[in-house]
Amino acid sequence: MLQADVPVYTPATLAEARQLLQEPGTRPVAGGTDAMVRFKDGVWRPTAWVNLLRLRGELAYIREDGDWLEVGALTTFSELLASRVVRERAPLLAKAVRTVGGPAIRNMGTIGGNIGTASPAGDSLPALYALDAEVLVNGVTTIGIAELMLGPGRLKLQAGDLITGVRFRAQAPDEVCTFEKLGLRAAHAISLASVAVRLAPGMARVALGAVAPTVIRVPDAEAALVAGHAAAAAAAAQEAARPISDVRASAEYRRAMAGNLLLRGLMRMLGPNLVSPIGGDPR
Amino acid sequence: MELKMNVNGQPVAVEVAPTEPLLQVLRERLGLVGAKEPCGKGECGGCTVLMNGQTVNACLVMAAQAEGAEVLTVEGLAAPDGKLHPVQQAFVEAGAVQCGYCMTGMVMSAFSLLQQNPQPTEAEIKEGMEGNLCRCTGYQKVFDAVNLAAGRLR
Amino acid sequence: MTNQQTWIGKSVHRVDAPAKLKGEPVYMTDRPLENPCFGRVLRSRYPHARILRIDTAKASALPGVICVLTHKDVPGLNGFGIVIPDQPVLCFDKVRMMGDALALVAAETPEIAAAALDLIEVDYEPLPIVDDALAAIMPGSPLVHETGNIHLRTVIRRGEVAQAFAEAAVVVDHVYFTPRQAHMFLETEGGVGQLMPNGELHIWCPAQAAFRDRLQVARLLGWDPERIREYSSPSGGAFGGKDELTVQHYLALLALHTGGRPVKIHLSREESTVAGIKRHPFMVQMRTAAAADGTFLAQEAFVVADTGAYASLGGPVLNLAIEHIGGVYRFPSLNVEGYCVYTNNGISGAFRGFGVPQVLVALESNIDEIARRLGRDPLDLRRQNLIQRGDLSAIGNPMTTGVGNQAVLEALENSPTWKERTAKKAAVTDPWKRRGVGIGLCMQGLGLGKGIPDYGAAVIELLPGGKFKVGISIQEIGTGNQTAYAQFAAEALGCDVADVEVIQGDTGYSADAGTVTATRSVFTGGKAIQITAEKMVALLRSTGAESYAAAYAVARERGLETKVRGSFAWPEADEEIPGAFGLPHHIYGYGAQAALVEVDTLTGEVQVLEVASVVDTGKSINPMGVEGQSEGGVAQGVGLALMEDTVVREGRFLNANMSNYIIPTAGDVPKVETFIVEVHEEKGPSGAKGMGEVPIVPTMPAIFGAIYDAVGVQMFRAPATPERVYMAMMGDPSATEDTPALRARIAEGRRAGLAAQLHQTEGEGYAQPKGPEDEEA
Ligand SMILES: Cc1cc2nc3c(=O)[nH]c(=O)nc-3n(C[C@H](O)[C@H](O)[C@H](O)COP(=O)(O)OP(=O)(O)OC[C@H]3O[C@@H](n4cnc5c(N)ncnc54)[C@H](O)[C@@H]3O)c2cc1C
Ligand code: FES
Ligand code: FES
Repeated sequence: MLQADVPVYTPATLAEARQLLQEPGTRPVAGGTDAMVRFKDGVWRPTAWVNLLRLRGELAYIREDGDWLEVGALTTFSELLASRVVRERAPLLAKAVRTVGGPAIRNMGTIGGNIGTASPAGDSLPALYALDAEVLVNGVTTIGIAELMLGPGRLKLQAGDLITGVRFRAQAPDEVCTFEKLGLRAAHAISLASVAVRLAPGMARVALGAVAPTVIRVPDAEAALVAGHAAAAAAAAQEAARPISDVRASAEYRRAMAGNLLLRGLMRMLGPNLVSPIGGDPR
Repeated sequence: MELKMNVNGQPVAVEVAPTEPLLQVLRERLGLVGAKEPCGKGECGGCTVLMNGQTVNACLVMAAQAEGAEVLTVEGLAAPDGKLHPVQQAFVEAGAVQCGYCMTGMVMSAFSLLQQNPQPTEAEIKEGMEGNLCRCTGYQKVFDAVNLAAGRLR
Repeated sequence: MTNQQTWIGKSVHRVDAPAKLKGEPVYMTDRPLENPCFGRVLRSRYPHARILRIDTAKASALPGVICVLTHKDVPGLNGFGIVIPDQPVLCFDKVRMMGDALALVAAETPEIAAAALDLIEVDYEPLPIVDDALAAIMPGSPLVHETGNIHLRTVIRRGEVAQAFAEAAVVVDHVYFTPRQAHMFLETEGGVGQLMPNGELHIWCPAQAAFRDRLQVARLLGWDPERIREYSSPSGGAFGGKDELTVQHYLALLALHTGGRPVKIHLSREESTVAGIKRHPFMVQMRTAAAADGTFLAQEAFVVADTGAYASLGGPVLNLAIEHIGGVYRFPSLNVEGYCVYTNNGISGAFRGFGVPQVLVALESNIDEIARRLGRDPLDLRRQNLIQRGDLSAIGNPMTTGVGNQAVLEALENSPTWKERTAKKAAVTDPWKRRGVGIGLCMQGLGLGKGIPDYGAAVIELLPGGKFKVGISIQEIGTGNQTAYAQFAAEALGCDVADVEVIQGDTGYSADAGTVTATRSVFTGGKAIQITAEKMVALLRSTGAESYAAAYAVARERGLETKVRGSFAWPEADEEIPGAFGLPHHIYGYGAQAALVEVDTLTGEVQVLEVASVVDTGKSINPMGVEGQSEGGVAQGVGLALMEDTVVREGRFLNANMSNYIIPTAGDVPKVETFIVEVHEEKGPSGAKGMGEVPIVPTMPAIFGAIYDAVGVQMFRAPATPERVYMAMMGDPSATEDTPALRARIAEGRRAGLAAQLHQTEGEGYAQPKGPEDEEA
């Protein structure tokens, strides 16, 4: 089918959107920053696009609910960054989102789309893993982010299911966190490897991006950090990585980076004296 | 489909394919060629326009998604008598333009940045312009221009 | 020389900036068109294959298709190329790269044209490919052209090389690799062709050589060039990448079949990357000898340049690289052997720097190592060996024009980046990062070189009200020459810049002034305008009028011609360098840079924080423009050194779009401080010489030197990606490509190259395309 012949439906309600998406071969489009690129490349050629933007009234929000935060699927990266609530109560997510694309991409791209694309290099995802996030489906059911992600571009969803939001517990005030992203340039860079880390007394979360078919949590690294062993945590991260080689980097390098980015994050959070680099000083 | 938008303050209605990129609608159907298509994939910012007050990459917006939108292109910045907008004037004076092909996108990003943040720091300027690629200038005079414009608009 | 100048040397605002900033349709690909149709090009599916059959029937039958053309529809010479026409306009016997063109379509919409391409049936017989330049020299390699894979071999020997190496205190010998950098001008190749009612063919297409393009198009059409008019300015970036025909030939052919409708082609980014020319990737094995007191004694190099499937400017690129193999230093002896070879890796051609950055990184890196081994300050060692006016360059060229070396080096030495390097390096914030400072010095031959016709011409027309139109065929590709030309004209005519309109790149308005390449545009245009302006001033005098406005009235009254023309020939060297066509150059630009970098030892990421960029411009016509060129050149140099490479494996392109072929963003560029040095060039217009290419040349070696200074590893392959830097820091043996096996291959390559040369008589080294008739015969 020619690009020009693909229809676009713009439902006004969630229910209507779900109805339209029951039709086989249809696909939702939110900000379009992944959808349009793949459409132009001929990778995705749905029978119809279901444009979600008229649902922004329903699905673009940032809500505080006691200890919990909930973000609507159509919330853009720019809206997340502009939110004081997100910056103060989910700083890890803010740090991750800050590294996405450039300003215009952040104005268009949505968190629901980042989940929907299910790329291991999706930059909000390591943060969501480290936050133990739950994804809201159709506004009614929830599913853990790790359970939802099956592989590159594959989600545990049924035809017609829409991601409506994502919720997680706010970060505690005494906790520290960081998102370390390695790309081939300073901005507009696809992650070669990334790591999201949270630390508090007795608690650690480590999630790696772009080094396995999905984002992964690294329980061994978390345990090592709780026990205060930075080098062991980095080694565990390298051990857990299942990277690929492509035109951007080799698997070997990506694996090394899984550990080194964790170390860099720890040094940034805790000060360098606490950590001795596993790579050794090159001098 | 018939697409209705408001472009640079004027209501427009044009027949388009619903998935047609907004960029093509502007360039080919409306003759507004200020926004360019250096990459077509969201990577370069050459197609930057404002949609509902925010910068977007027009190459990635489906026409149907622009239904009812307020679109501002670079053609809408200068005064009707042709006098440059202060942001454009700053680009001239700072010597920011070389081949110029990226510059309409740059101007839109700078315009939007200064709307949201009238006194950006050096780091904020860099951040605000990081989605716009330029192959000629090395960006330094672009930063100068944004600074200069900020001073004038203040 | 006048000392009171009104316009020359002033940072006049760019005359072309307002229209560009307003989004007016100034570019050729933005032109509003009446009833247009759209052209597309069918590209090869294989990097090397015999063409068995091309069937266009289905495509022609598709509703909305206006015409489908193949090699049978090329009425004249089915070949093009700046030096030799070895590239088919439309392929007939075989394809040699992925970008090769097989057919053209014009249709009512771009999407129909694309659909028609899919309906053209081509049967291929895939052929073995050669995708490694060194392998291409070896016997038994698949042949890209039947005449052999060696497009050009150039050898220069001078002095007692063997003796010098025997006597040297230090010998440094390494192999360096540089990438297939893509121009990535933001305006991809495109334009419009139209057969006009008067029978002329008009082509609007951003380009760098309007008259040569016209000649090439005339040749392939079998037309009189006078019937063709090319409008080729301005361009949304070029950098050498629009020096060859880009789409003019396709536009011309299609326009003959669209019934007078304008036909437009505008390449997508991906098609541009696959089909367009690139910077030649080089392998440089370089052995440099110095005496114990630091005096350079000998330079030996073996250079292989990958020109891809067609020559384009591969020969001249190789020769310019060889001319600069000794950089800005005295070398009493030299032995350099270079090859420009065919492969199935796309096509390479002109790119800012034109071969010089590729060899300079080897030279300057070798010099840094000599300094370290001798315990010498790297800047001081360079100073000791600098060419002075009157010296011979490494290839034996007497340097008789303005030599900016000394002044450039002094400016570099006094730049804060160099002077305060200790403090700047210590100011590192994160303990896992290290900082370093490195330097690079360069020169760059200006103009086309010995024996190549190089000239300039301009017209000036007096308009009512005493305003002027200045016509010059050299295009505005972004460098600011339009503004510089207005400044030259205003200065020479004694009028205001605002009273001068500069018309560029239009073959119908002004005479041939050659290309906008080789850093020749300010020199050529400036000189041509000055010479032409004298005639205009003479015209004024002859009218006896007090003002140009009055002179115009008088001239009209008396029926005098109000359009005057002038031309001149470039100065060239007295003696040629035997065996190296186009060498030597006569006038050189000089530059130097110091780079401060920060290396993340955990990831290998390199951030260039600051670059001091020194350029000797001769007289600087527009200092703000010079700064802009300097900043932009450094940014491209940063890309070349750290991130850019068009990856071609087995002839196929792996990163053709802008998401995986990456260029520096606003966050990647250093703060650039430009220091303009004005060493008067007496042969140039107002003492100017031009500088556009110079700033990209020293950036890569300066960055490599800085990386070494920071973390103690020498990079031998550009780009120095985080992975390469990290692996080198880790001492990974696989990071070392300079193995005994590589040395053995180089030795074998040398033998094979020599043997191939002995079998070729002079002049047969150039492959000639066969015509379609031969194929049918
Ligand atoms: C130039 C450029 C730079 C980029 N840089 C980055 C980067 O640095 N980091 C990064 O992570 N990403 C990056 N991206 C990718 C992209 O911007 C993000 O993945 C973004 O979050 C996608 O959101 P969207 O709203 O645009 O999704 P769309 O493109 O609209 O949709 C993406 C996918 O998700 C599905 N989808 C969308 N919404 C829903 C929903 N509510 N329910 C179910 N499925 C849904 C769609 O069907 C589609 O399959 C970049 C993209 C571009 C073009
Ligand atoms: S053309 Fe839209 S971002 Fe490049
Ligand atoms: S000025 Fe040429 S791309 Fe920016």
